[in-house]
Amino acid sequence: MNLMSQRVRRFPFLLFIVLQGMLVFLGAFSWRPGPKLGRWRDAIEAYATMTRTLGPYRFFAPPVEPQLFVQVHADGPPSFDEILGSDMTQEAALKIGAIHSSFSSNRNVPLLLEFASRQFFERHPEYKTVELTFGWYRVPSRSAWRSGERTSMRKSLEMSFQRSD
Amino acid sequence: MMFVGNHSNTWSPATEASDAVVPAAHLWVRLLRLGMGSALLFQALGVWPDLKYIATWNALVPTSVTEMLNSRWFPRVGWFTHLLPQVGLDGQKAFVFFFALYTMLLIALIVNFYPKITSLLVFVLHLMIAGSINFTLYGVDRFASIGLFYCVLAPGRIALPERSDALWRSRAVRRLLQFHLLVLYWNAGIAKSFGPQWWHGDAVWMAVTQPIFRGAIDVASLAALPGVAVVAGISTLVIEIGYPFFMLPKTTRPVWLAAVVSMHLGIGLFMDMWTFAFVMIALNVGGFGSEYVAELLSWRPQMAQWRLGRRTQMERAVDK
Repeated sequence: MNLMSQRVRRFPFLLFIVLQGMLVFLGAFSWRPGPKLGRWRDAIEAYATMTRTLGPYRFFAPPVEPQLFVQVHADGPPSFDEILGSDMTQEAALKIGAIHSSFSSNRNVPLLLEFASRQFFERHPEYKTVELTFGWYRVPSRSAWRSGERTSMRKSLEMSFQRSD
Repeated sequence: MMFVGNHSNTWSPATEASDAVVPAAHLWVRLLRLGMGSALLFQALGVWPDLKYIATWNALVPTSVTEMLNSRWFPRVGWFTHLLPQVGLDGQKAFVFFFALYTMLLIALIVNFYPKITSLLVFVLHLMIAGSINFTLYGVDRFASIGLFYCVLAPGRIALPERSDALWRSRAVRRLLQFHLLVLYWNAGIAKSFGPQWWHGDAVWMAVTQPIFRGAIDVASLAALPGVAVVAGISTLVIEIGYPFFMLPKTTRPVWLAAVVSMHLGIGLFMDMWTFAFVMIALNVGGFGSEYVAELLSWRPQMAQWRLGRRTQMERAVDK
């Protein structure tokens, strides 16, 4: 009797564990809640998103692409303001790098450049205009590196901003 | 306060009433919370100096823009910006307030202060912060959410006797975490193996050469010895695909755990992604390594330590 009540008591949690395990397994293989689930779909999607149950886990799976970057030129002699640069902690640089990666799949690159220019003006009130370049790092192959080639940039968009005041 | 002078692995009556004792099978949760708390505290302290670039009105992507793009149900700091002025706090600084609270709670998680409620609060705050700086998230934040979710699922402190429902739940959650890790690594390894980049070392080379990954090791040496990148790439595939097959059997588990930990330390060294490395090590040690950590530190039942004014005994962590 005692054993039975223990099993009954434990059953809901065991069921939850099994369902959670199923979600983990299916999610890893790209299953996502579909329309067949009806009104459960949104609830499952919300739960899985918040608990990160559904994956994916394919970080750095091919193709490994170079990261995006933003380069800022102020007026006067062009200078490289390290918006991702050395005065930043690595964790902040990774997070800002993630912004750029996010924007690669968005069409909001000009918006990002606008924010970058605003930030630049705040840091450098002496400048009136700023040019920003959005692009990619081009990483040389190992043999090219041995021949002296180094990581460089490939432009994809250039914009110029002027301070309004 | 209770000191348990138990020199064997058997339970004495004196241990039964103490909720300060960590039973052997529950040590993994303590390690997971300690590891996740430490890794995320390391991340939070790294972000603090540059928080204004990441999560203010003047950030590269202001939180208001990020929050607009999220699903309406996703928790976010913006929900509270109108409430904070009513308690005398500046609504504009809501993110800073929540981030400070999150940082303090991480310390509470590390010292195991009300572990269940602290885990829940950290998990929710981590979600809220993620919801407000969505564009800045990378792999580590996803794995941090996973780790914190297991911290929430697992019981807090467990009062003896060992055959309690709480201990059963602890074991069940650990099995789930183990299953999650098996699926996660195997899936990641298989996905990598489909392309040639990991087989001939290009993936490793491209990862460590990018300027954003400012590793402690000069990549020029990797260019001079091309075989190293090939070996690193193939080793990664072997470790990840072999994870379920070599981590489950107890005979091969220590070797594979050491290999996985080494792989993540390598990511930290070469790519300066220390938070990611620490989070993954915490997940692995929590899931599969608590027995070895206990052995390594030579914890014995008679060892006791002060923790928040009460004597806590770390039980010998052999999960029977």
